[in-house]
Amino acid sequence: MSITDTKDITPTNINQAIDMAVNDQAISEDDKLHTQRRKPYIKPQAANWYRQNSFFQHYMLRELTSIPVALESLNLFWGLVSLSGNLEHWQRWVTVQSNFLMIIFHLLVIVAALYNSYTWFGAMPKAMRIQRGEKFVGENILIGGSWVTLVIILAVLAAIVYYFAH
Amino acid sequence: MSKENLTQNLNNTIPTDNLSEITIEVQRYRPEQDDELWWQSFEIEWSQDMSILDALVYIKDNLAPDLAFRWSCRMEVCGSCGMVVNGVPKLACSTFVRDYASLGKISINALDQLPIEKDLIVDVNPFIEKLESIKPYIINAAATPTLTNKPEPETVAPNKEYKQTPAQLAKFKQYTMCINCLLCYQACPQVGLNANFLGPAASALAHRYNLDNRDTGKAQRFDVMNKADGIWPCTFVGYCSEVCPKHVDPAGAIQQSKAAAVPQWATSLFGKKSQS
Repeated sequence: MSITDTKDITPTNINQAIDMAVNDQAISEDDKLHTQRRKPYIKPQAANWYRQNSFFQHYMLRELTSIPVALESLNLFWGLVSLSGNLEHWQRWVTVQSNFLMIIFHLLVIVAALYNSYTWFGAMPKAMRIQRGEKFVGENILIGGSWVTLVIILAVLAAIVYYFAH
Repeated sequence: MSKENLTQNLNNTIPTDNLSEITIEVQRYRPEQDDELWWQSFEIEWSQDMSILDALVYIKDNLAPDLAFRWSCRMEVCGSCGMVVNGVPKLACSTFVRDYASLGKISINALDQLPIEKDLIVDVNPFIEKLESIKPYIINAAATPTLTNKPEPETVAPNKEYKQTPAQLAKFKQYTMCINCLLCYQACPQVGLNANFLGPAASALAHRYNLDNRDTGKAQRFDVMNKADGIWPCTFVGYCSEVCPKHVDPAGAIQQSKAAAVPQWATSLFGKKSQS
């Protein structure tokens, strides 16, 4: 006996009824029509999405800091190449560095790098959770530890520069 | 806090003029009649305990009977009433009209990073498919009978307990709090750019099961997570964690998953798929 209604289902044909339901054969014509009538509206993301709230603006600022840092890396690379060249090359690079605009650029790079560190140190406790028993090490300890580590590294670098300069 | 202080605080947050009326703008879309989204404005009286959901129910009961929106528990548990309130993804049940009273206007629209079916109702199927793909349940190799694996009575769970210490539970408990409200998907600009991106909630739930000591299905989940549309489109904007009403922190879960995914990928290069 074919199953055309729920009252046709018996203990012997229940598996067949389940198969029919799974294969969507049990969907009524009304339901099929309703499904066909659907007209979902797809809204594309606005091109200026990153200007829509301050959270996104800060995110874009964080990402933008990579540009001055990348340019400074190129500048230092140029310095390295000049150093491996002759004295004239090296002196030209040093002269460029002491240009007023270059000094402004260096200051901008420092601000950008520090802001980048500030944002990523703030995000670090999310990415690197340290569990102690049933608790996690506090966010402030991890963020504070990051700053202390940065200061130590900068101090060591400054000491090395000072040592070779004298 | 004393009653006087409480009254004082409330008085400070309430604007003194036009106390009782507020404009609610709702973005409408009726698939049978409309080709575009449009805004409909309602003036309603509000009270201190009125949530956005209460306001919508009032509008539906009294002003626009055909307005469509989802809701159920009214207590931040079911995750049905996610919508965008003044540009911010919110649960309508736990967002209050009084917090917008000083603005005099509230705009409400659907979680439009998903297909809008009608008014404030969206099609959640794209999310459900992503959720299914990461197998959001405990996979236990020892307990799964296969042609070659007959479960050992001593290791199989059916008649036994899965043991878990409080510390092992703490490792992932935060990620179990997800109510699938999809506010995080609305908050994610990467979902906006690429609708196929696995997205915050599904990734956080994958991470939840990967961290579970009873589970051995990590390799199967990383097969999905390491695909181009898996966890890698995430650029750690972090707004998903900001809007999450249950403090799940999907952004953190994705970054932790990325760190775990690299060794998993490297291992798979040599054809050895780790089961743990």
